Amino acid sequence: MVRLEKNLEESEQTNLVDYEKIVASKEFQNMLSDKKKFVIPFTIFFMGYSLLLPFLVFYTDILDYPFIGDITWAWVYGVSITVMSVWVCSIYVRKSERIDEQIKEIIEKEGL
Amino acid sequence: MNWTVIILFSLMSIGTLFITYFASKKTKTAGSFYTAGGGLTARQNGLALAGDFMSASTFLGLIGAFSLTGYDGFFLMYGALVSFLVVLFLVAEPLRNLGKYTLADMVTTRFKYKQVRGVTAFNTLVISVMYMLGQLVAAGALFKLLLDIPYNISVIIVGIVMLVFVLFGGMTATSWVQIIKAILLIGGVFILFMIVMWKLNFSFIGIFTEMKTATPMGADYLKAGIKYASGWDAASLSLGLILGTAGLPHILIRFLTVPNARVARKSVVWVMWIMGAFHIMVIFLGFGAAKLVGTSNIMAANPAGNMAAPLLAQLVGGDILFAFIAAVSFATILAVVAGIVLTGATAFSHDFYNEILKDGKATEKQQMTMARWASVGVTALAIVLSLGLQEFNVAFLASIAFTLAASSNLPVILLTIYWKKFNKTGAIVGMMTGLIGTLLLVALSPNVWNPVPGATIMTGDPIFPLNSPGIVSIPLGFLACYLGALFGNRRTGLKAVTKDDYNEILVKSNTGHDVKGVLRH
Repeated sequence: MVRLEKNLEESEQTNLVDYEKIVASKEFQNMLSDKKKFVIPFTIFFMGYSLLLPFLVFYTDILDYPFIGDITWAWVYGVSITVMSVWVCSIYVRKSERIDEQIKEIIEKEGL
Repeated sequence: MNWTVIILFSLMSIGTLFITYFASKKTKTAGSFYTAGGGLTARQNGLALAGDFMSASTFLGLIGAFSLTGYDGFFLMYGALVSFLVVLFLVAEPLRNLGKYTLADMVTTRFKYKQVRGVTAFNTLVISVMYMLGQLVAAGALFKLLLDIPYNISVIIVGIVMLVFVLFGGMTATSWVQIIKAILLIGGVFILFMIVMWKLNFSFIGIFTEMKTATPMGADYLKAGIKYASGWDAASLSLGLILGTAGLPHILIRFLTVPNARVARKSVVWVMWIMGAFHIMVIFLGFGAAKLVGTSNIMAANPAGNMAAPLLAQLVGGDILFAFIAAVSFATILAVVAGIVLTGATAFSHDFYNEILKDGKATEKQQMTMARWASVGVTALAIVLSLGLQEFNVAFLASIAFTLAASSNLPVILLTIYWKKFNKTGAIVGMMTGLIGTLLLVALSPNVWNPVPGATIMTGDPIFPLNSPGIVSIPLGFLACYLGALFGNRRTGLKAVTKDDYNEILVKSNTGHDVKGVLRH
């Protein structure tokens, strides 16, 4: 019963909300492009940064040089992936809070 | 028999059963059983996520891997944090905005067909059971070594204790067991780390020099190549681990326990910090184990290195620390296995039973009963399978589950959210190809085939050269989705791609509109 009522509510909502209009609106398109502008480059960056490691350590010797004492650059690179991940994560949080503002405006304007 | 271990094990079990008792009072509806009513905070869910993710193979396996294979330990480890970036950037928020109880809910928001739901639920069950096997095999091996309990009995005990949490406490109890376990694990690792570093005079740079002579590998210990033969093999493993998390149903379902996308995002931040700290300590604990316990002693206890952490704890902290680390390992296995059983049971009772068989009309009571029977069924299946897999490498079993998730679930999740021309045919073909393709490549790999008789299941040259199939099977999954979608569109004509459906997904996944409707459970 509960499920049935919910289905009805959902279909009513679908009828009421003009999704095509919202997607076409300038605000929504701006929000999407702002999101893409940081999600796409950052995803390429963190995937590239981490998948480069196996190839650098197996097929080149550029990471074999010492950093401090017997710690080579290979170890620095390995640990830096952890640091990079936390850093990229904090950037995401900051940027997406700005996107949240845009979404809030869209929700208010469209009465969602 | 080590009595300190037994007492701590018992305390841990009693404590978790108390949680289950209190959680069971709150678990009255299917929604609270499946997703704790969607009311966890970011910190709670972040800790539970970390508790869910840091399995026995992570905790025991990583310290063992660094101690025995030096630099190659990185290839098993570094993918984990990056994988949460994939989850954070691409999956967590849309999933919270579109999903209700299961992964299939999210995919069928766009493709409202029973076949799509059925295939997604089937996929969830296969991946969950596969992941659980690794944990149960680890549990059996661990208890055999720690308590002298035979393997078969250990597996059955872990299965039954975990089943009690799930049956009575549902997601609320499971989440709290995971939260407490995460705190104990991080606390235990930190204490061990401080004692080990104190023994090594806190010489973070000097330890590297010492490691050059501490193991039979000599200076090679600090370089890549002890375990993995080539960069391609290492990259294939890493790729599977990086993309696997974003397709693992028991991890994804955790994002449905929070109220909105913002909280989902913040819980990932908690995971990153907890696991980042854990990873840094793990490297030095691996060094400590290799230097203080010694490679030969670690391998004598377990050739895969799984006992490095408990042995190190015993050496530097005596019986009490040993018992504590052993008990934390026990809690780890219980918490992770409970999470997976719950995921499998939810897929069965919500997707197969309620949505497909009963057209979404099953009563709360019927759903709860079915979910509990499904929990019993999933546990029984996993126990029976684990009994036959004693000789299998734990990390290998876990890595198959990751690669399966990355090859069959992830392409469909991403394309459902982000590709306008994606369709039902693409989703079904993609998931099945990813699933079958991965299993087939594993069956043809050096894990199964070895020219030396008795080394693996089959004798002969492997047809597929890599241990980990990710680098082939993941692109294969995406390709199958693409081709399936093309074929499906051509057959039904492009009109079948209803633009409105995608617009609806686009608005809902980005704005969280209707998440309140989704959450009204």
